[in-house]
Amino acid sequence: MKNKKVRSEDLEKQDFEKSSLVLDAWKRLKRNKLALIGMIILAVFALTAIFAPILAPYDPIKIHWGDEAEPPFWMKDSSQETATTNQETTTEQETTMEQEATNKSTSDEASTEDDNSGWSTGSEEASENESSTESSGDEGGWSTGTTGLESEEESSEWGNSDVDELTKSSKTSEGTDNFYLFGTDQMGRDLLSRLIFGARLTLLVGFVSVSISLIIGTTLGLLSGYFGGIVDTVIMRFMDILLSFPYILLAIFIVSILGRGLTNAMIAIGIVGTPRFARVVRSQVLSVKESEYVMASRTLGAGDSWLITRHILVNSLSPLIVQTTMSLASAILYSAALGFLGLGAQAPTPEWGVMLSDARSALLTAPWIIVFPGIAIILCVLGFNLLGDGLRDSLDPRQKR
Amino acid sequence: MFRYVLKRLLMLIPVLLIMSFLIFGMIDLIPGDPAQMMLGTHVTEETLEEAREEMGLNDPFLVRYGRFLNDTVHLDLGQSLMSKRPVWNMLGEKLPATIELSVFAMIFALLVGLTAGSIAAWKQNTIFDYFFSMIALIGISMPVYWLGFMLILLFAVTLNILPTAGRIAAEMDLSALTTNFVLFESLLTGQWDLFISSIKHMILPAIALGTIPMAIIARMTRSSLLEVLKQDYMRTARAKGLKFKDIFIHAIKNAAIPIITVFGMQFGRFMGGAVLTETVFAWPGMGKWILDGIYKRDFPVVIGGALTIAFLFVFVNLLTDLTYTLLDPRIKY
Repeated sequence: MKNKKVRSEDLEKQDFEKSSLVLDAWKRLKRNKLALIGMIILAVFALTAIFAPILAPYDPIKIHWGDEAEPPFWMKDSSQETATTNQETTTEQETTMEQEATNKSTSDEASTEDDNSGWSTGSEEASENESSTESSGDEGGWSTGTTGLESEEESSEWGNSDVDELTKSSKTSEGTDNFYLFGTDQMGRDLLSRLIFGARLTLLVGFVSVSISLIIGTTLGLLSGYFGGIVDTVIMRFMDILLSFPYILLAIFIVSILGRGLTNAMIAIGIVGTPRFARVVRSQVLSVKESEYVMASRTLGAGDSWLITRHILVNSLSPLIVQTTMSLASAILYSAALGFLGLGAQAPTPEWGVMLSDARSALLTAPWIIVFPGIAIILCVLGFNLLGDGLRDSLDPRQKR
Repeated sequence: MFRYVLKRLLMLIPVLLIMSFLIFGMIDLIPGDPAQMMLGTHVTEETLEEAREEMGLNDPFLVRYGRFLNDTVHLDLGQSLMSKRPVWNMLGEKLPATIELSVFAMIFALLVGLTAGSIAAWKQNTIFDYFFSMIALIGISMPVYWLGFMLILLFAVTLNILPTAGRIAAEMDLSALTTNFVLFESLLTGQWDLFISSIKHMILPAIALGTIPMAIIARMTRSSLLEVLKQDYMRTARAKGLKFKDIFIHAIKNAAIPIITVFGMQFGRFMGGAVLTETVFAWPGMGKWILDGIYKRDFPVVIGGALTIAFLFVFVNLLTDLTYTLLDPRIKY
């Protein structure tokens, strides 16, 4: 907000120059392709978060009985098309993994419904099915001839709802004609909807916790750098000690003290992130404090609060913006980690870390449940990191060409 | 130099004191009654009260802290509330596991990170540069535990060449070993079957734990090498017609300080990452131990573990500072 103000003011006043610090920075940022990619990723996530209720096809915590651990649509389709889409979207290894898992889960359910009950595990199933076309070696079988196997399997299992209705118990009859883009998790909740609502939570956690660090850290850094002496020593020693403890462990301790939950996780991550801000602001204050214009202002009778708000804080803005962007990335990682450890957001909440933790038990049978939330986290964090890198390059005048 | 080291060592004392106070205070604030934890829920209030009195839980905070400090100085970290074993002995079991894991993760991070960063800097703005920079960027954006799962899926489940969890195959007989450094000791004493099994178990967790530091080191190496390559003395070196190898050594030595700093700072990340990595791979080390301690409100374990990590961290920082002088003769203390 401050930027915009500065920018418009500058535009009005210095019309002849058509350039200001912020405008320059923006121009440089626009030339940076990676930063642009980061911004696009973040914009997509932000829009997803804002319009989550419209975009999400299902209620993220509604359990669709009978649709537990349904694979994504491209893994369900029969025929050779499946294999090609698969190889395009995921790496080959992942593909075979997922297909294997599909087969496994299929066989689990298959054994209860039709006469395939003789199959006990996925590997046996594969070798039996493929014995006509492929060698019966375990791994060899997996990586190659899965297509034919899938087509047979899937048509009997996923495509044919009549069979389901006839043989399965009543709870299965309603769910099967739903379409799940990314499949469902092992509880039968739509994965895509959970991911979409997860974007909301993730961005919320990021912004709230970084705001906490930003406010406390900036205040402490200002006090410490501006007043120096004993204030500086006490604050910065304390920050050093906070820093000299592994982040995640400190966050775990704080959450343990406050109690589990999303709010407390945000507070914990906020506290843990504080020292970085304090350091950035302090070093900036120390260099600005001694500059001529601050001294001039002081001799003209400016008070502490004027100097801090009008000169020092404004000059700390660019490193603060960079630090904020970078901190958003790590805050998201840490909140997901806390969720994963069961200390952050709690079970039915569609938080990405919690989803990963829930999916642990399904690692072998339904890997897509664990793959997608991870990709979502990586993309979101990557967006902030790319933007942060770009901002650092464009806001740092030393890099000016 | 000696005086400097001595001074730094003496300065550790107040730092460690404050840290111990903070750790003790923080863990004291965690809600939960150790007496209840130890005795379970089926006891009368009187028994609980007796136990609290016996454990000294009713004393004021400072008295308890003083007693804890006294015990700690005498290398007595108390007794686990759950297993009733001395924390010190458990530490002797858990710490080697984490140290072995961290060492291998560090080796991975250094080897890959330095190579990737150097290539990226040397071939700036080429396809190699973009490739390695992108890998590094994704590396720092990746949740450790998710990477762990993906590695398990790929190498343990699909390819079936590496084990999924634990330090060593369950059927292995460890009675021949005297310490809990399973990998190091089996290597040194030549017990090859033990060694092969443990190194197989090591690969995936080490990669998972080492990836983020690897990415950070790669980025740092790249930017710091680029900075050095721009310097005049590098141009001179090239103009003199030095061989590539000599130029490179020249450059990397000058770029080493920021890399070493970053590397030293990674220690905290290793310990933090160990909590997550060890959870994924069921690795019986410090991280999982402390986490279980927190879940079960086993406070002596948590305090002992946290204190050890803080101690190691401070020590590694000191070592990092001291390596500067070895690398850069311009720095004098």
